Amino acid sequence: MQVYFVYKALAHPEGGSNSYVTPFTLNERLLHVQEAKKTLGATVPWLCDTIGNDLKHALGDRPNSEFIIDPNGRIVVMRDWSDSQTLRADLEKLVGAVEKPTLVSDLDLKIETTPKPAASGVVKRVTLPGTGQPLLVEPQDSRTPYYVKLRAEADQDLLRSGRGKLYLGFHLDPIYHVHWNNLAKPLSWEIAAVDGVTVTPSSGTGPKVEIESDIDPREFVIDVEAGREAGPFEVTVKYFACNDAQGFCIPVTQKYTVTLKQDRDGGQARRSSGNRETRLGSRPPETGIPGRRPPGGFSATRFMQFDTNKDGKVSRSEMPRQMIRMLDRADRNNDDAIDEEEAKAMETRFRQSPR
Amino acid sequence: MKRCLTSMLLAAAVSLQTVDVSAQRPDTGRPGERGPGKAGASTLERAGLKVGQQMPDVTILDENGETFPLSRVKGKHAVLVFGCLT
Repeated sequence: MQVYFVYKALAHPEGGSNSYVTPFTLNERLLHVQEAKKTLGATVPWLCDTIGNDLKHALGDRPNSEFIIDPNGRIVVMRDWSDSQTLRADLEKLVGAVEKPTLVSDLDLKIETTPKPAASGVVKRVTLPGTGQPLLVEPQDSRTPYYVKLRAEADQDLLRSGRGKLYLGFHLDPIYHVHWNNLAKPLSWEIAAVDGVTVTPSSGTGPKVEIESDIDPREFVIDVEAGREAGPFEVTVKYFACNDAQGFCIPVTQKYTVTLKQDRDGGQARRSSGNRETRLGSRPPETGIPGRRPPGGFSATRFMQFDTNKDGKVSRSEMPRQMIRMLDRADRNNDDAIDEEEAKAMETRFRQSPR
Repeated sequence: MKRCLTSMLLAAAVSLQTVDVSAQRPDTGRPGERGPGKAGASTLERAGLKVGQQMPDVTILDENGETFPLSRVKGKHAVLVFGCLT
């Protein structure tokens, strides 16, 4: 019997204790593996998916699935979401029980936040008014590591019609322990003109920050008008990256190719923001037997009536504000929305909950 | 065998903890709360996977960056648990 952890594309970029961002190279993903290994302190070996996410694609594209493989290489159990108790029961059936099962409390987990190289929380966050979808971002060759990584997200209108808002977030990669130098010129970016694509503005500069250094992302939301056949566009960014421990503070210029197509491996960033659109006070139409509460106080049928655009799921922007926290527990496929299957699973869990 | 199983259960326990920590979700303390169990398999089935099929022939990497053909897990039961830092 052998267990492997498989390191895959980030489910929630900018998440985790250190605001990890999507690695661009295999070496960077392997650094993530080492970070995960160190954090968990477990002896279980890690495997690392290719940077093209071949294994993730081949095995169903789920963020936390698990598979039991028999000695002939056949899948004998597959589970959408890892569940240690069920896995244990499965393995007892397949290979027998152990005398003294290991518990989480037996583990020496090293759940610590790495000291940050500079202050955070000093630059105001900027987000799209709604749920952004990650776009394909291709970093161009660079001799310098991508200390800063671009994340591009489109709002629904931009993906649907070619006209909408685009989020450009320049995030310091925590694996390099770098910070901004606010005594130098701030980060600046520029989008090269492309036929059929209009961006407004087409260039920008990061804010002037009063303290000497920080690690907050530099974020921008711009308007885009692109024809249906519009090709990719190029983003050039200039910044200073500084690492005090290694004693460097260097100017960097890097380029990206951004395509107005959704990146299926881009994950879903969960940025806290006070300006997301929410439909305060909205209520689904009353249905069912008046006065009778559904079992467990939650009804998938009633909940799905918040799906005002009838796309089969209730997105964050369609949800009443008080229900948004449900996303954390119910959104199994990480699309920042709850579809009918997820709502039904939630209903079942409510029904099974002790009162 | 016992040692291997102990290692496996350690992994299972750790995989649970990975979810707790990285996803920062509230823990109800109920076993299996996070997992949809068998119901969740339908999502994988919709992706075209079936119990009984051979693992895909994909070459990935081990934690040291060396190539690792997935066929290498053959020979004894193996568990693959997907995860990441976030």
